Amino acid sequence: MNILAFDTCFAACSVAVGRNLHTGSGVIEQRFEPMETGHAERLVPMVAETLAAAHLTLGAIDRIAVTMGPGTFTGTRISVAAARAFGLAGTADCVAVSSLAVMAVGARLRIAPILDGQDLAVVVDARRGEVYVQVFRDGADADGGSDNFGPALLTVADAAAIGGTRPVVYVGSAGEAVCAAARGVGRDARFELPDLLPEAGNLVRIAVDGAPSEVRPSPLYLRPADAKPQTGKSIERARS
Amino acid sequence: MAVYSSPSTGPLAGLTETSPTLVLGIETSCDETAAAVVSRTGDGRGTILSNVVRSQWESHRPFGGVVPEIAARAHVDCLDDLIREAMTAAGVEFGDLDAIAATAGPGLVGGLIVGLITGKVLALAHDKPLIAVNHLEAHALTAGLTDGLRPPYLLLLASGGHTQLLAVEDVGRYRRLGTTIDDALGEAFDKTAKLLGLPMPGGPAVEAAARRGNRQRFAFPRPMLGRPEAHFSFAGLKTAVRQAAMAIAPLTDTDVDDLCAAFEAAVTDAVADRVGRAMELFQDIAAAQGVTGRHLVVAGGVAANQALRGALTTLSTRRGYSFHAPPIGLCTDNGAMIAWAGAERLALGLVDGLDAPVRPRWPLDKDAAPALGAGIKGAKA
Repeated sequence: MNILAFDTCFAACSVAVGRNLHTGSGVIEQRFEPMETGHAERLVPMVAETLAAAHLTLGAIDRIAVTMGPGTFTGTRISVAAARAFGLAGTADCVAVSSLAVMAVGARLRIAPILDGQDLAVVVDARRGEVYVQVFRDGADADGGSDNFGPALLTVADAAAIGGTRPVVYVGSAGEAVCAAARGVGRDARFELPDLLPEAGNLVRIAVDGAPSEVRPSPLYLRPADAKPQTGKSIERARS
Repeated sequence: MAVYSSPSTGPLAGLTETSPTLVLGIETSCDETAAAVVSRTGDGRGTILSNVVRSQWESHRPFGGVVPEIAARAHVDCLDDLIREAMTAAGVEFGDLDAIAATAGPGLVGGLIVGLITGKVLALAHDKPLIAVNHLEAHALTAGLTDGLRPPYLLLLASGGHTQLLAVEDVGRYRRLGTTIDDALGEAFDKTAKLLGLPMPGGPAVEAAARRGNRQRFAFPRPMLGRPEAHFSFAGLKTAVRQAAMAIAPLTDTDVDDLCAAFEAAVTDAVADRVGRAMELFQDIAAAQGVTGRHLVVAGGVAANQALRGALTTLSTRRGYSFHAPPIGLCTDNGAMIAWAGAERLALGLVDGLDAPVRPRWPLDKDAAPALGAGIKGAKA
C-alpha cells in the first residue's frame, strides 16, 4: 500500500509518503517544516516534492491520510479541503485521524520508556484558558480503545481530571500547565515534549492499518465560530 | 447551458489560438460557494458549460451580516460537492480541462484558502496549470463572456464589498478612476435595511420597499456630487437616513417605504453623477490611446437594482455609450466569471505556481493613490 499523508493543524506543515507499506521493503519519506503561517502556500508544493522523493506519482497512491483537527481553524480546513480535493481527483480512499493521536504516536516513539505503565495525555494550548486534550490509557492504541478519552476541548483543570488518579505523562504545548493542575490535586504527573507537533510520517503509521472513512473527512473544530447574533440595530417600528 | 456568441466589439490582438479551452472556476471569496466550467474559443468567445452557486445566506442571517469563520466553514463543507456537480453538468472530466482557476483575492481569507487549496490540489493531481484569479478582474471581464465585449471599456463595479470605477484597458491592465472613501454601495443598502428592520440581504429588500414609497418625502444628500474626481461616499447618506428615521420613529410601513425610496433616489443620483464624471475621465484616456468606442459595463450585486440600471442606461444613451449589464446571476459572485478570467489569462500565458498566496487585499490598479478620507488600511481593493 502507498499512502500520502499530510498535516497543517498547528505550527508546522508536514507531508509524508509511505511506499510499499505492506511489504518488507516499506519506507516512509517525510517533509516537515515549522511555520506559523503559510501552510496553504507550502502544502501542495511539499506534496509534489515528497512524491518525487518517494519516486511515486499521485496515481500510485492508494490512500490519503489527513489530520482532521483539532488545531487552528484555518490549518484544520487546509488539510481537510486538500484531502477532499484529492478525493475528487482520484480513486484513493481516505483515513482522517485526530491531530492529537498523531502526536501520541510521536511521543511513544520518542519517550517509550517513560510512558511505561502511565497514561499518555496529549494537551495543546487552545487559548482562553482551554486546551485540546486526548488521553490514551496505558497500552491503548493511538487510534482507539474504549478507555481512551477525547479529543475534546476542556479547561486546564478539567483536562487534569481526565483519568482520575492514574499516573499520567502530559505532552504538547499545554503539558506544563495541565501537569501543574494535576499535581495540585495530588496526582502523579509529569510533562515531556512541550514542542511536540504532529508529523505526517506518524500519520502514515496510523493510517496503514486504519479503516478508511465511509464519509468524506470533515474538520474537527471542537469550538464554535466566534459570532454573536446582532440585536438593537433597528429603529423602533410602529405596532400594526 | 448558456451560450454567448455575440461578435466582439473591440480589438482581438493576441488572440491567435484556435482550439477551445476548457477551464474550471472556483469561487469562495465571500458568502457564495461556486464552481463552473467555461469554454473559450480561439477568437475569444465564451460558453458557460455549467455554473453552480450555493448561497450561505441562511447561515449568516442570524448575525446580520457575513461572519468570516462561518463562511469559511460552509465553503469547506460543500465545495467538493459543487465542483463535482459543475463537472457533471458540463459533461467533462478533469482530464479534459486546460486549466483550473480559483479566486485568490480580494476577500475573506478563510474562504479564499479553501478555494485556492482545492484548485491547487486539482491542478497538481491532473497536471493542469493553476490560475490564481483576482475576483475583481473576474467581475471586470464578465462582459467579454456575456456580450463578447473586448477592452477598453468603463466599468462600474458595485457590490457589498467593493465600489469602484475602472478603466478596463486590457486583460491584466486596469486604471482605477474612482472608489469609495467609506462604505461600499451594497454595504450602504445592507445597513439601511438593517436600520429599518428589513430582512437581509438588504439590496432586494430596500428596492422592493422603495418601489412602494414616495421618493420626494425626504430630501437626502447626494454625496460627492460634482466633485472633479470620480470617488464615492455613502457614510453621510447613511447617517441622514438614520436621523430622518429616528425623528419620526416609531416607523410605519409607509415610513419605511418612503425612507427606502428617498435613499434609493439619492444613491441613484449620486452614482449617475460619479459615473458621468468617470466617463469624462475615461474619454480622455481613450482619446490618448486613439480608441473611439464608448462602453459602460456594470457588474457586482448592486447591478441588480433596477432604478440604478435605469439611471445608467439613460446616462449612457445621453453620453453616446453602449450599456452592458451581465445577467444578474453573473453580476453576483459566481464561478463562471472566475473560469472566464482564468481562460482569458491562460490565453495570454498568464499562469501561477502551486505556491500562489491568497491576497485578502488585492487592488486591480496597484498604482492608484489612496482615496482621500479612506481608512488607515486603504480601500479593500
